[in-house]
Amino acid sequence: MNCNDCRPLIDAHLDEELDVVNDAAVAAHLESCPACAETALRLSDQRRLLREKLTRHRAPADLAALVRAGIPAGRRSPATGGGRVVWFRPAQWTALAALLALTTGGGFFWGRNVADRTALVDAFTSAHARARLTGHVIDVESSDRHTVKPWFAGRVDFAPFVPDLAAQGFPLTGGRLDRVAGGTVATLVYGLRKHGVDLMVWTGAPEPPVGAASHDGFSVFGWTAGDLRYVAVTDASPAELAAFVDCFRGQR
Amino acid sequence: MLPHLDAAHNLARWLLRNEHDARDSVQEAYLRAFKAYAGFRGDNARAWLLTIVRNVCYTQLRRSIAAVPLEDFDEAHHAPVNDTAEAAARMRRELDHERVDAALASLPTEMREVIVLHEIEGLAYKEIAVVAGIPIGTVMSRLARARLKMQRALQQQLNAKDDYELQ
Repeated sequence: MNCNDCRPLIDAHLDEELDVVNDAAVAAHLESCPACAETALRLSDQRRLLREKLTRHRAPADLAALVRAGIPAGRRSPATGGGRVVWFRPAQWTALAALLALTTGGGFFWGRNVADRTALVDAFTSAHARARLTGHVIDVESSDRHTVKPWFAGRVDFAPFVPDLAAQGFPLTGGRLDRVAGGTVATLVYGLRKHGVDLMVWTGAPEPPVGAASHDGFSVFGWTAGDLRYVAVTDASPAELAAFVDCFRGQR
Repeated sequence: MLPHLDAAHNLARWLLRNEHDARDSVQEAYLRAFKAYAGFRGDNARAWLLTIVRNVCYTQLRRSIAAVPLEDFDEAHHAPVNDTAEAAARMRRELDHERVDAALASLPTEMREVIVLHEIEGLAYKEIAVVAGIPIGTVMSRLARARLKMQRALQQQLNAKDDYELQ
C-alpha cells in the first residue's frame, strides 16, 4: 500500500471500520511511513479533542413532558373537519417506548438471548458493510467454484461447500475472509440481481442467529447444517434472500 | 420514559443551532415516530428515530429564512490544512469547549451532522448511512472531509485565541 491508497483509509482505520485486509495494510503502512503516521496522530489527537470538549446538548428537563403533552393537545385531523383526534393512549406510548428502548442495551423486559442475537446479527452485518466500505468485497475473484473452494484451504480449518448457482440466478463472484465475533469465517460472495449476498461459513462458536432477521437495512438469514454454521447477509429484500437460501440449501 | 431523547435533542440542537427550533423539532419527530411505529421493521430504533429527527430538522432548515444553503463540497480553493500532529496537540491543550463548539458550529450542516453522529453520539458508519440516507462509502469520505474542515476551523479558533490574548 502506498500513501495515496493509505490516506483515504486512515480515518476509517482509526474508527475501526475497515475490513481485516485493508486494516492490516493501513497499519503496516503507518509503521513504515512517517508522513502518514503523522496524519494518523493528528487525526487521533483531533478525535480526542472532539470527544472531550464537544457539548452534548442533553434534553432539557421539561422536554419529555412536552413531547408527551404536545401530542394530544395540538393535533387536529383535517379529514374530520377539525374534530379532535386523540392520539395519546398510554398503551401505545408504552409500546413505542419499549420499541425505542430495544437498542439501549438494558431492556427491562428483554431477554439476554435476544440481546446476544442482536449483537451477533450486528457483527455479521458489520462485516458485510465493512467489505463494501472500501470495495474490498473479495479476496479471490472467480466464478469457478473449483477456484474459490481450494482458496480457502489452509486459510480456514474446514472445507466450505461451494455450489454453482448461476443457473438459478445467483452467480458466484468470489470469496474472502472475515473476522466476526472473534473468529475467522469463510465468506462466499454470490450475485443477487444487482445486489450481492455474503454467505459466511464457519465451524464451532458462535452459534448462528437462526432464522430471518433485518438489521440496519440489511437482510440476514442464519442456519446450521452438520458442523457448519451459515449466515447470509444482503442489502436485497428478505424475500430475495430467502429464495437464495432455499436454493443453496437445496443443493446438498 | 422516552428513550433516546438526549440523542434526539442533541442532533436537533446541533443541526438547527438554536434551542427553540430544536425543541419544536424533537416534539414533531416523536409525534411522527409515534404515528409510524407500527410500520417500523428493523431493530435499530435509535437510528430510525434519529432519521426522523434529521428529516424534520432539514425540513425546518429549508423553511427557515436564516437557513444556510447546503454548501457545495468543492474544497479546491481552500488553503491546505495545517497537517502537523503538533498543531493538533496544541489545539487539544489550549482550546476550551466553547471554542471547540464554535468550530463545529461553523461547519456546513452535512459535515456537522456526521461529526455529531460519530464523535458525540458514537454511531457506527452503517448507522450514519441509515440516518443520513447515504451509502456507507459516502459516510467514510464525508467524515474524512469533515475532519479536515474541522482542523481548519479549530486552527481559526486557535488564531482567534492568540489574537485575543495579545491584546
